[in-house]
Amino acid sequence: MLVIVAASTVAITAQKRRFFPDDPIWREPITQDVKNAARYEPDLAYQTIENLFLTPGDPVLGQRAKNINTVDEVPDGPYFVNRATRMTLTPAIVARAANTDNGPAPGKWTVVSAKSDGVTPGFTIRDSKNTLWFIKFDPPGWRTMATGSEVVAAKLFWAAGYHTAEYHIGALEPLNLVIGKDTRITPPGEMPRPMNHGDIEWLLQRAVRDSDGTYRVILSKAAPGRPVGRIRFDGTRADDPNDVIPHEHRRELRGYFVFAAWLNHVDAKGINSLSSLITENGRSFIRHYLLDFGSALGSAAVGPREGWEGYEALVEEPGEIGKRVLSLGFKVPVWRTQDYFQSPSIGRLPRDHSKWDPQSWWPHITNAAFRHMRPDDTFWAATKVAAISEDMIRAAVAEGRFNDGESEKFLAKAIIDRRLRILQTFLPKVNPIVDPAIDAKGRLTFRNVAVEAAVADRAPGYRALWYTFDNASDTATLVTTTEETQSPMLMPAMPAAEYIKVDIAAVGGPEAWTRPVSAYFRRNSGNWILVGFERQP
Amino acid sequence: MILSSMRSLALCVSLFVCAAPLAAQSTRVESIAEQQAEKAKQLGVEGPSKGEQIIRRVLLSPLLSGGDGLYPWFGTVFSGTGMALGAGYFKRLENAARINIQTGFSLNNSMMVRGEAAAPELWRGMLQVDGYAQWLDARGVSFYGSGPESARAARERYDYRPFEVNATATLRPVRYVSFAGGYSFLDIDTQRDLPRLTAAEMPGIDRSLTFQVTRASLAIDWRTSPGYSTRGGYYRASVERHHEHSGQPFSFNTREFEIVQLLPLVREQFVLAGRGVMTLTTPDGGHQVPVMLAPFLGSGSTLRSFVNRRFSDRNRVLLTGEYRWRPSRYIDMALFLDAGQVAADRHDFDFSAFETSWGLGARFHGPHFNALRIEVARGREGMRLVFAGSQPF
Repeated sequence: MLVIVAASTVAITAQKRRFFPDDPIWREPITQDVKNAARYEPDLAYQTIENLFLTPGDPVLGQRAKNINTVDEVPDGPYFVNRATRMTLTPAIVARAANTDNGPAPGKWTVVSAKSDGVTPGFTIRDSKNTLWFIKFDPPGWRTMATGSEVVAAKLFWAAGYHTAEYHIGALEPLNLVIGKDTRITPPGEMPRPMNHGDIEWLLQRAVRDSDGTYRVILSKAAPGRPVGRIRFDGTRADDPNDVIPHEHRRELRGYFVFAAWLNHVDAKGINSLSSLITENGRSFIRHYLLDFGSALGSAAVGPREGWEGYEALVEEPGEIGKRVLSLGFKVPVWRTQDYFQSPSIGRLPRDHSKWDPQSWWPHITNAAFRHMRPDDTFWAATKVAAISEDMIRAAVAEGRFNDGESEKFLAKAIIDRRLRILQTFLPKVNPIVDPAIDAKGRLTFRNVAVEAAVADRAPGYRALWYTFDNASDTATLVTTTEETQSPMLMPAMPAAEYIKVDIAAVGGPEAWTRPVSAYFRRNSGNWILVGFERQP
Repeated sequence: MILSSMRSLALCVSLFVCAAPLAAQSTRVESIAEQQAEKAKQLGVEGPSKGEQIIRRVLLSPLLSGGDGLYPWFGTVFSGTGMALGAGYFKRLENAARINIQTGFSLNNSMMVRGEAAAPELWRGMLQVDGYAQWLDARGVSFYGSGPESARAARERYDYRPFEVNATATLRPVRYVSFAGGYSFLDIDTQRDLPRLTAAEMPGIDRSLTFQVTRASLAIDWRTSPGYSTRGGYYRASVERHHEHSGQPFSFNTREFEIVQLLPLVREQFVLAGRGVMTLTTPDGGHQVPVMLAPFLGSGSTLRSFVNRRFSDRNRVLLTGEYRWRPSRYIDMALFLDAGQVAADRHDFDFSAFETSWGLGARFHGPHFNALRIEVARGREGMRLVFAGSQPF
């Protein structure tokens, strides 16, 4: 097989260079000023229908992500910033996450709008510093469940690298609310009218009142900039000149599946995001935030998570329905029979995650990016999950302030157990070699992240195919082959060349590990610098 | 939108990774910048696609969204008159008050006009008063003779035109429990084109009757929703007095008892459902129960393999059992068995002689409502296909 790979590599005859001097880039360029971005709120019903029954986006599946840099990573950009694996995270940093302050400024909260329908109320307020905050409550009977789950999920999505809002758990004191002079409300069945304090009392009747007269709430700070819509998972924004990669081919949006599965964020749809037009240094650009994690972990926002959530889409697979029809019901889905942990503080979660299959996880509605996801995308996401330690997870859970030791302990364990299943499932599925380098002693070093995560046994050995590489013609010429039982591997004598290429594969071990990863190095002041890395799906 | 996506796709083809065709640039950033500059020349407006516009304008209009306004209506004008189509207008008002107006026409030329109104709830929802007025022109209503021995071949048809004005007050003192009391003014006109049975064999036919109807009921309902539920129970006892206002001998009393029990198994993967209904009428001395108001069996929810109103008499008993399984959260399947009998006297019921129907059904539903029920039922008089918009019970 290696011979075939080598031959095919040599056969690359494109007369175009593969690497630029600035490769790999770690920041997605924003070179155009976004001048005319219009606010567009996609219709939830249409999004649902489109993604349930149609297949928007590129019809050709199986393509490699197109927004990755030459070392197979996602540059910092409008959706994502490299945190886990690229910056030093600590439990304290994860606990703080996106927060830049301690919540609304002291003083009165001015209500500027209110949500009058739904199971729970909601307010939009301005604090004494005129900062806009959104306030949500727990559903009756489930104090801390929705608010706590949202905070935990937001912290962990931030650690993974996504842009999220600032979230704080707080207490709403009714007497601290004042009504803005232009604030209006539309009670169900009524016309819009000026809001009054009776409306606030009426809205708060649907919330859980604590013994001290306050209400536990989650406060999320309005994202900077002007809202211009929501994340779409296919195509590009027509009014954003910097947006040139179809979103289904963005790795961070494909990999979003893995993080959503991990945290059971079943409501991972476009409507639960925000695209904001931000102006910095005189240039406007669009940044995309993930929001609204109330339907994550054991919470379904208005009640505990239903058993099917995470196991089935909003509409089940027709073939599966047919089988269940014909079986007279005796083909029972696993979610109906498994044991659940349930408590008012965290909602409902399966008690045992040791056999959970992340690949069979379903959000309510899938999307084009999820459909285009490949094993190298899930591997990328799993490496991020691996970099979020158990202590960081416990720190994020503590931020949920569930005030229920047993439930909090269970929730942390559930997230840790699901993390392990993510790693066990997605890391060994491709050749898990990462961070290839040639050190000062002329040795090739690399890490096997699946072995490091203790989710796979060591490979019996590794084989390296050494090439000289002509960047101008994108052509590799095989020089020699070496084998070692583990990293580091001695670099053989190589002809003088600016670039070399090394294909690294396991000898033995899982079949996927025998498919080589390709590392490209450029000589720079006597050192070999990694400029390219490719992993086969 | 699709064009926009394809354009962008063509524009970027492997922008970051396979930027080789962009060799004219000297850096990766420059090559990407060129792509962005190219797109900047052909920007569009971010907005809904054609498909989304259609969904927004048509499917999500008040017609189908369940909100206030006009809506299409389909159902049955009167039992046995076939599928009907029509339109309605619904308006929500404060405190659960509402107005609902419907009109529909059936395939056999029957027609219905109905207006409902509910007053605002009082005492924090404990008391609600509602009412309706309904005019009906039901064509070709079937009657096969009274009693369990009636023959299918003896079918007689008549047109039935009731006009009814009703008011009902419902008190819900505690959760699940409701008391209802109501009054109706009911004016009935019937007509036959080709009479075969005598007036004695069809009490009340070919007459204009006017009833003052009073009714009361006590119900305990702990199902999750009357429209669709997988657990809970419903227990009802009701009494009704039909007083013939013009002095004709057709005054009678009705007592009806109904029990519905839903037993979920394996976290509602299966539901064992049972229903029992007993309807007993007692005419005043020297009076009779008019055929159009007499209890009957045979319909999409009672003895489903028999044609509509196949059996009719003063009393009836119906027992139904269903084994339901749930292949989807929106589809229930059911194997069912109906058994029932009509009788002139309540002591005449003979369990061993009950008529039976059995069959298989599929129900398409939401969390709180049933949208469509399709069933195949088989019994002594053959097979029948049932289409209905509601649960059988």
